[in-house]
Amino acid sequence: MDSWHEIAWQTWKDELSRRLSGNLIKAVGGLDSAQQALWLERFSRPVSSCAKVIGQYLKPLQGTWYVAAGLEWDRVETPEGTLIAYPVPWGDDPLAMAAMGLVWAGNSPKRVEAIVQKLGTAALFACYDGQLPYSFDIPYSSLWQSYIHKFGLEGIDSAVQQFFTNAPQSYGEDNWSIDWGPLPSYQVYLEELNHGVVPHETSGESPESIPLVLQALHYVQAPLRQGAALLAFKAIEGRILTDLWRKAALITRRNEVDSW
Amino acid sequence: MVIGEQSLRERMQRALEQRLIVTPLLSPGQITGGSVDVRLGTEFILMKRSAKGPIDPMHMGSESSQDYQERVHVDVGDKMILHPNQLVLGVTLEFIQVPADLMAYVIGRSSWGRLGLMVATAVMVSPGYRGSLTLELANLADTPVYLYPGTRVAQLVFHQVEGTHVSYANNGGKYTGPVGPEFSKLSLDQDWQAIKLIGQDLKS
Repeated sequence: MDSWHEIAWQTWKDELSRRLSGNLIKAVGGLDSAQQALWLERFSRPVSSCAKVIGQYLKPLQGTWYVAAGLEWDRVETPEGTLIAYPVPWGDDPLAMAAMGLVWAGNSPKRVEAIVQKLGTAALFACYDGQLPYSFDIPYSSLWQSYIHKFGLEGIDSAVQQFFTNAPQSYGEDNWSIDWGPLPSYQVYLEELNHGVVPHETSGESPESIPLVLQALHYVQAPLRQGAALLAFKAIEGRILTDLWRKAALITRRNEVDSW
Repeated sequence: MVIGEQSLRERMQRALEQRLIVTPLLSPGQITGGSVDVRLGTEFILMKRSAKGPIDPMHMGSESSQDYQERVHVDVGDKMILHPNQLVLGVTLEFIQVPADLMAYVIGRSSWGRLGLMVATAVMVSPGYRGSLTLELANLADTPVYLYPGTRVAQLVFHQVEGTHVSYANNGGKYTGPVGPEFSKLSLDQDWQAIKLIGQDLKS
């Protein structure tokens, strides 16, 4: 390393690396120089609360992923885990952020199954709301075909239909079967979002089902959509906190911490 | 008339338009007697010393506010320090919808008050208000104090409003629907037009 240019690059990389955890430094360190710079710059930006919470909700039991704020969706597999970048402008939208699960899953049947178990039918709509690029090896075609085979086209927007019918078939997609579970009942939460309030139960608790809130969010029309994303995220955050609170109350085994 | 616990719970079951909403309630014990306990949320606006100039409420814009404020997120389980004489805008964890025939007062918990923490100055919540409540948190004591998101910081006491009235949302309320703390929107007050004109008249 002789030129001042190289020294300046290295100083900049060292400075940004200092803010990362040990495992993440390892993951980024294994990339080529240009990719290193790209991901270090992405990891230097703050991750939105929404991306962070949805990432934690979806995080697989096996394997690791690291989420960074970028200008577009991106994914790199490293031996230390998967690096995922999401587009910053959509960082406050929980359904768009749920698409990171599909980005992680790619065309691995096991991973797709894990994400569909977490998101239900919202997994399909996350692809559209997150505007995932066709360049990802995601089984768009199988997701779409299996969905309409089970539930039909009722309530599906033409733009959603177009998004999936235009998607190329990915490698090895022929024999996929996806278990979507029952048709989601999200109408109550959709009504609440359209009314301009955080989805809730009448007890004041957050909704039991996060996928239903995400599904309802998909159906909120412009110009309410962006504001509704914040309300939906509040409900999701509330559900996660309530579950953690309940767990903490059980652990204390005392009546001092009350919970539902 | 203060609305009691049973009536509060009954109002939470009503049709969406008339419903009293306080969510998320992390525990059922937040509604007791005639009040609802609210918790400190995770979003804050820190007020900084300006390097460029004072706050002019007549000409406040989002571009200038970056100079004297900073948004910060603190997770539940984490903490934030509040220094003596420091003002921080916080927010309730709960999102609230006040029915059109009710209003509420925000009352800081005395346990925090005894540590020097002032929780709210704008203590009235108007009929029809929807959104989380911005809290003006100030440390009036001489010792720094930690703020923990998720702790109960204040109580809402609801009262019946008599007579006809226009709800806050339908009256063009400036703070309808927020889920995080909001900085002052004083510059949107219509009174500024009159004040400017009076100033011009007096100079001419």
